[in-house]
Amino acid sequence: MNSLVTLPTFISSSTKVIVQGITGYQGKFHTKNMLEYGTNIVAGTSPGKSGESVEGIPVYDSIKDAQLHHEINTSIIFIPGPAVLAAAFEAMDAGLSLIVIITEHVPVWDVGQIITRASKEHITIIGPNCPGIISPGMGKLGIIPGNICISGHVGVVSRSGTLTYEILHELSLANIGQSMCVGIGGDPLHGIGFIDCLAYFDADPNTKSIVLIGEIGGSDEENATEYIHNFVHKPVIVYLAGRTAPPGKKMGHAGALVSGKSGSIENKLHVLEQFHIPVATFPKEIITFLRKIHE
Amino acid sequence: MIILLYEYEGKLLLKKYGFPLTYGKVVDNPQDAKVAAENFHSPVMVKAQILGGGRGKRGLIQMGKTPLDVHQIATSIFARNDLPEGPVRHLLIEQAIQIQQELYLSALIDRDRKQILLMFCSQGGVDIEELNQKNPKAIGKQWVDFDTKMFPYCFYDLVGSQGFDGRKKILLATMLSKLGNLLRDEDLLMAEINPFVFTTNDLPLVLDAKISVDPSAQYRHIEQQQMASLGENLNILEVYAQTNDLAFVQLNGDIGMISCGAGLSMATCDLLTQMGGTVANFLDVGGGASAEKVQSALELTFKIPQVKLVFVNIFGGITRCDQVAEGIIAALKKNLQHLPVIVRLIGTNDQIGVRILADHGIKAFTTMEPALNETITMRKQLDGGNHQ
Repeated sequence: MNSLVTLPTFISSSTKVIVQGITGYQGKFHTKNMLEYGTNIVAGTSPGKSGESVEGIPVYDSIKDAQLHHEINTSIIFIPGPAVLAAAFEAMDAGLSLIVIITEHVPVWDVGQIITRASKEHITIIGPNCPGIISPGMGKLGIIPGNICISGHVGVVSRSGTLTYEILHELSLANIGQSMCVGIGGDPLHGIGFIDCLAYFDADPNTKSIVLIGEIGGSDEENATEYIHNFVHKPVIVYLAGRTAPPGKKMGHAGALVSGKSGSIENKLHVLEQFHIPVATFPKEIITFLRKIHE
Repeated sequence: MIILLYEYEGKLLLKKYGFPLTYGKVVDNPQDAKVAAENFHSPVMVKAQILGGGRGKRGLIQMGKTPLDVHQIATSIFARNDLPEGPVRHLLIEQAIQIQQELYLSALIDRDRKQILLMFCSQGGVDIEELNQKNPKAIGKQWVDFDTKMFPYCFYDLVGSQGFDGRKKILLATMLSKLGNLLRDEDLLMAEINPFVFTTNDLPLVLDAKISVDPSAQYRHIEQQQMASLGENLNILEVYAQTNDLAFVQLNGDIGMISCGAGLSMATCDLLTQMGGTVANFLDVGGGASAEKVQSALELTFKIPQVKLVFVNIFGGITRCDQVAEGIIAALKKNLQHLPVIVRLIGTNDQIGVRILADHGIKAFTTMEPALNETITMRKQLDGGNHQ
């Protein structure tokens, strides 16, 4: 389990971000949006393009080169799957403490190498195949649209991307603001998970309740439920996607696969019910549950 | 799709790593099966190559004592049309072996523990999931880190704990080491040998292999890209989806579903079903889809035989709603059956997208609930009528 030591400080001015793959389509688009949202991006890398600039941010061949001119402690990676292993190792070699990997289709064994090293060196990995983090009104490290969030006290953690946007949007429309939203990604192997985020939100004075968005495949939700029962004091509402997905088929996310008895929605619902954790049957019901809690 | 290899393909991979294998011949028709049997000069096993388990119980592995026998067995297996996996396209003809002992070996990525799990059990040839439920302690398990080198000596204790010592212990530990290395070097998610046997002559042999590969790593394994199992079990619609980079799963209902993002796509399917509809397909166009990609998504959905109407649910982050709208308009030109298309559009450039659709007579929704309601209502109205 990666420790969440850097999350509380990620949105402060002490967070200094480098965008790896800054000159690509995704890199450019999201650098612009992150800057507009207030994120402190200091540099970018794109091998062979040193000297260029994106939205006023200087581009370097490597993180090491960038570090000759800038202090950096965080990276966000917008690089195609085959090159992510090298990019993540470069970021770890450079001594960065938080690395967000947005990329989908990173080979599973490469992810394994990344998270194994990160765990040993106490580096926080978020992702891959995730939308990143947003702390409404303060900053974001990823691709979650800023205009669907409002500041508040609900902590959101999710395996998905656009479903998360849908739910954030519903919450904001109902004037229920968010403290922070963390997208842990849709891959079977990933950095921080539900439990890391639950621990963070439980300890965060700015978070009063938690929304957990899960889906079929794997046992993350079952393990999270046990953790909630034993350690989490704040109320948690769950929404699960994939109730009607057939077993044996990968439903988009590499991690959304029901195989045999493992990863089924029935198992997750059963465990959640056992521990009396409210599960919304449609996104709007999350709001109903949240309103009930705060009465 | 889970990317599983056929048994004979798995064995080709294992051969590269020095696993002991019996000679086998892959055939596509009963005549070749008969010829193969003639060359073996002994009883042979006729094994259907399908991407599923329990072949023995389903008559898909049979012994042929004579070449004529084999021809008959092959004919009957090729004629099978009752298999959920689809028709049998290949048979593996192998020498029949006298088995003294069956063992179980596997290596897989354990996503919960974020490590590699190696399993070894002196009870092979059984349903390992069943055994794991009934008596998990019977299966020897060892976890290693992703960066651990897996040498034979690493597994002496694991093998020893299942009652082996001496030469056999070393041999089996070596097999586990090879399996772990195979998993890593071929980017596999799972490799299972069930059973690994000792013959009555005490010779070690891999009798079956179940291998699952990582689609994200295919680009660095040319061999894997060319494997028959990967391409030939897709239907026409699935091939179209693959060609156009669309995440597509065909379902049994009649409401076509297109969305962006796996979670939202799954949730949309869930909601349509919960509201009384039946979904024809899961189709995720992914993030940042171009107009062309959205067009191909719709054209694919129109091709599904039982589709009566289509719901497009887009929440655009990097996806641009104007691109989505262009794609929908282009696809509608090919909507020969005039299937109703209901669109929900929100996010980047949504106002532009909504306007483009309005110019073509489509009123796009901004919120999901009314769009879902409209879809269900329209589906009910179509009940009892034909496609117009």
